[in-house]
Amino acid sequence: MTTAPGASAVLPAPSVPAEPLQVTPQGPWHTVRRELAERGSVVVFARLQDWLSDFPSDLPPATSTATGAEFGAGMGAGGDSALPALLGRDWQRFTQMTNDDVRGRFLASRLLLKYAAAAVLEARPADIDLAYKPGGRPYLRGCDQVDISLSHTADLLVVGITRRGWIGVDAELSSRQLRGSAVERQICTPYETQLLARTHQQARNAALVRLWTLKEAYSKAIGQGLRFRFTEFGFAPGARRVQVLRPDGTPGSGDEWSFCTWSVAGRYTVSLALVDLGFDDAVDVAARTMLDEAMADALLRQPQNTRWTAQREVRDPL
Amino acid sequence: MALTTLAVSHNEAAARPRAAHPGALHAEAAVAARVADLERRFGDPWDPANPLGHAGILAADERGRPQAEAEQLLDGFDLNAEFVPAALGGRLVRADTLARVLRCVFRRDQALGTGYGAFSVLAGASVWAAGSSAQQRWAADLLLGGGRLAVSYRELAHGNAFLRDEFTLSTRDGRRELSGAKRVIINADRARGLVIVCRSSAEPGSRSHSTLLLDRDALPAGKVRDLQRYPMVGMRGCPMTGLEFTHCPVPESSLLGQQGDGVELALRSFAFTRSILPSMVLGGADTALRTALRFAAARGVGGRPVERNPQARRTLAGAFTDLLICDSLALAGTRAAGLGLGITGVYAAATKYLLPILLHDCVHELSVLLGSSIYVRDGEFGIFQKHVRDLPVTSLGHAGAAAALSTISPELSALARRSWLTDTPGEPALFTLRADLPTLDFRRLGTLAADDVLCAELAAAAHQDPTGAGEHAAVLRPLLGHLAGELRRLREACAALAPLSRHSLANPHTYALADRYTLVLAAAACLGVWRHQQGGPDTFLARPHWLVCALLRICTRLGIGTPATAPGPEAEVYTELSRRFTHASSFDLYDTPLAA
Amino acid sequence: MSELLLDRVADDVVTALETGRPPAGEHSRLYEDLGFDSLMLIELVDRLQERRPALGELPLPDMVGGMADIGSLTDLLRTAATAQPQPAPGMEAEGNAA
Repeated sequence: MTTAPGASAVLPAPSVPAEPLQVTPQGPWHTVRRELAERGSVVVFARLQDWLSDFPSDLPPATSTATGAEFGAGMGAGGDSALPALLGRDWQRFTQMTNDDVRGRFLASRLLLKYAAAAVLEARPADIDLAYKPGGRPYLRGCDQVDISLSHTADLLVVGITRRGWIGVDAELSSRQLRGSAVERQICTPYETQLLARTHQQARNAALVRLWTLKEAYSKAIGQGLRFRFTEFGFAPGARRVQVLRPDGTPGSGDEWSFCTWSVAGRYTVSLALVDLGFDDAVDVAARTMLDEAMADALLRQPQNTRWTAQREVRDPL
Repeated sequence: MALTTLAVSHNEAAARPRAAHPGALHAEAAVAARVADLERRFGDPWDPANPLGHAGILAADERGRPQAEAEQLLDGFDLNAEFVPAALGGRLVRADTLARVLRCVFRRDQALGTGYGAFSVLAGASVWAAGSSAQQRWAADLLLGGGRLAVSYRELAHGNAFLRDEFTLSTRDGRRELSGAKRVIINADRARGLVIVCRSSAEPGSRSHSTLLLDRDALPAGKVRDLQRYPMVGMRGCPMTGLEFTHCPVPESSLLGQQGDGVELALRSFAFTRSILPSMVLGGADTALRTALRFAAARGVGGRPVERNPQARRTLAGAFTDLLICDSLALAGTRAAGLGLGITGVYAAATKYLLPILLHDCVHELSVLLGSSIYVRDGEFGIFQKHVRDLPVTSLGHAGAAAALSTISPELSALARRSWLTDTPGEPALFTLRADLPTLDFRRLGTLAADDVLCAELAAAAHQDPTGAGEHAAVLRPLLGHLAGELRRLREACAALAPLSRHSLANPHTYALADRYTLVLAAAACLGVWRHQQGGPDTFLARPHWLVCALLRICTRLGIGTPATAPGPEAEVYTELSRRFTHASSFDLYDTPLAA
Repeated sequence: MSELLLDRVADDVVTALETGRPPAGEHSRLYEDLGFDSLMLIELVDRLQERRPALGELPLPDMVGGMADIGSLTDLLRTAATAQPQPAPGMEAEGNAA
């Protein structure tokens, strides 16, 4: 089998996370924190049902009459549930979903993201502001000490977290039929098509599923999803060191990128893309230490920040 | 004084006619002429025969060394004089114009801009803000003679290789001495002047650090050691080494300000440095966008020419809009410094926080257009990947963001209660991009955040009917409503913060509020630029199209009220982008003529 | 089941293109209401191309931003031939997250 030229190139292999770790709302969060501290990144996975038992997704009922308010908290359905506060801005979108499967996955994945983020930042899940880039990529607003990525399929949820740079994860049923489909025709580079043609018939679908998840993971790490043409970059199925290749099979991205593929829960293929910019970022990612004590102290010494005398009359001109 | 007299050509430096009367330096014509001069010297970067073009820059990057020819060019231009206050014989009178001049350098090579220039500027700020007249004279002469200043900051809990570890200043046998190591200091191995923020007391709090100005040549050789080069993915041509001091005696007169002033002085200098550096870096994003346009023109996008690919045009117009958003906030930040506003430090921190985020997203969106050419490291499009690699380094990653948010978060509560949605008057001089400003006074750079004149702009605009927007008034009005609503929600949430409680401040909820506040400031800055160009010579800025697109993009980031049914007037923005691409002028607020 | 769904959506869109009328399920969102994922989007676009060769090449990367629901997908295909600017992209369904 041909391997990509330059695959043997020099830099020390960047550290990749351990096998994905299964989590429920109960954890084990200390293990997640430890993996993130020690390896710089961690991938967790979860079963849908483990995350829906506390918050059944059929409650509250879907409503198409939601108002234009941006905040879900306290509006419409939800009653005294903790859910609106927990979902924040996602609440409204959640209430407008009509497909029960989609609602369930949406809810469970947001809960998993918030719990995982809260665990590593050592904060409350409701204090995490899960926001979206203009292209849809999720991120933790105001807390870029970790980057996150989310994927879900069937009853599996996967979240990747790194403190080293940017991350992308993607999961797919290993049995999903891609061979001979439009997907096979549309996502492969000429080099990949060539390599796949030489792959044994029985192994070809598995190789395609792996390629697909690697491509999704990479494209999510750079924030582009399906907008980045999947025929513009590729991988070499079977290569020892996985790296991004150009369509003709020559090396693409640099050594700062690393990739991994795992088989999870016996029936899923999960891939990870990770870029480490080399800042050697701090092991400490806790929210409480992110505020620089000395700067905050200097700013709060100012009299105006501790006394509210001579407050202007608040007249709202809007 | 203990700083040795500079052996370098002091007389020669003083003899060169650097600057005429400071007044002449302020004028728009003078700034435009310096930018044009620098552009002319650099020449067309896409010309393969130009030794200062992209080919040479990429080769230097590959070697991991500064590009000697480019540094000689900047010597010849006397670029260092731009970093020295006019009162000390240099050409520095304004922060906004300094950034404009340096953009020419960053447009070519961010490593060159950072390694040659920006870090001398960052280091110098502390000297101009707190140095004795002897210290200021020495630093000015060093720079005017072609020397360099390097700077080492404090350690942050969320530090990285740049902001981890710190030097310790102690007293032994009645003498001050410096110990410790810092892994990465830009230009550490070639700067004669060192500005060192060091721990001078083991106590916690804001009075435990001091700042020194050291003459490297006067330090005992055995007590200071250069550390090895630190390898980075980006900015490989920028010298990044480190320093180690071992019981190194330092003169009594090397303190900048008083002992214990370190944190306060840093905050004061940050009010200047945090807005100018990101403002310079915009030049790099300009080249990334220009490269994407060249690629699209030459090869099409997705097998179609751009004229037949609306999605590609939308991406390009969006990137241009992002640059205009960035420049609007940077403009407000840098001009606030000149106006000596109390809130300058907050605007500078917002600029430092938000611009790297917007520029990162912007170049990655553009990467979609280039496809597999983002991996090419040479030829006509090879410069794209270099700017993508360099951009994150200039902001120092998360440590930089954490430091910026540490300046904004403690102010939120007071700002919310005192200044948001009150009838604070605005400050039109923040937005008149070509108008003069008072000479920058580093000693006046306060850290006392008083009136929030940017938010006042938002309040004023939301109050008025945006009739200037013509047919776009109907789109603009609800956008302003959404933004005002966002500010109202921010006020409510921030006023509820307990500023003296660490739990309340050091919390993801508070950082998220700070993030949203920076987006509101960016929106207000765009609005201010648009409102205050009405009837002026910058007709594109005076028209509403870019503003509507900018506010739509900001609202999308805020996750508020973007009606998917309201298309932005992107076609007009794309038309302007095309015009500037064809006529070689800059993709920022200034529409500056370029060499290519 | 997803095959049936793909066929149904493709039929609805093609019928709308042929009749010039709004498609059935105009406001059904591909992700939130129909449960599409990225692979299904690729299959859908492929089917549309197969059934309406006149549409020419339909590059998904240029379309994902504008196909939140069946109605916007239909509009996008109607205007694709004339290459008119399309509505600003809304939040992309879950192309990135799912």
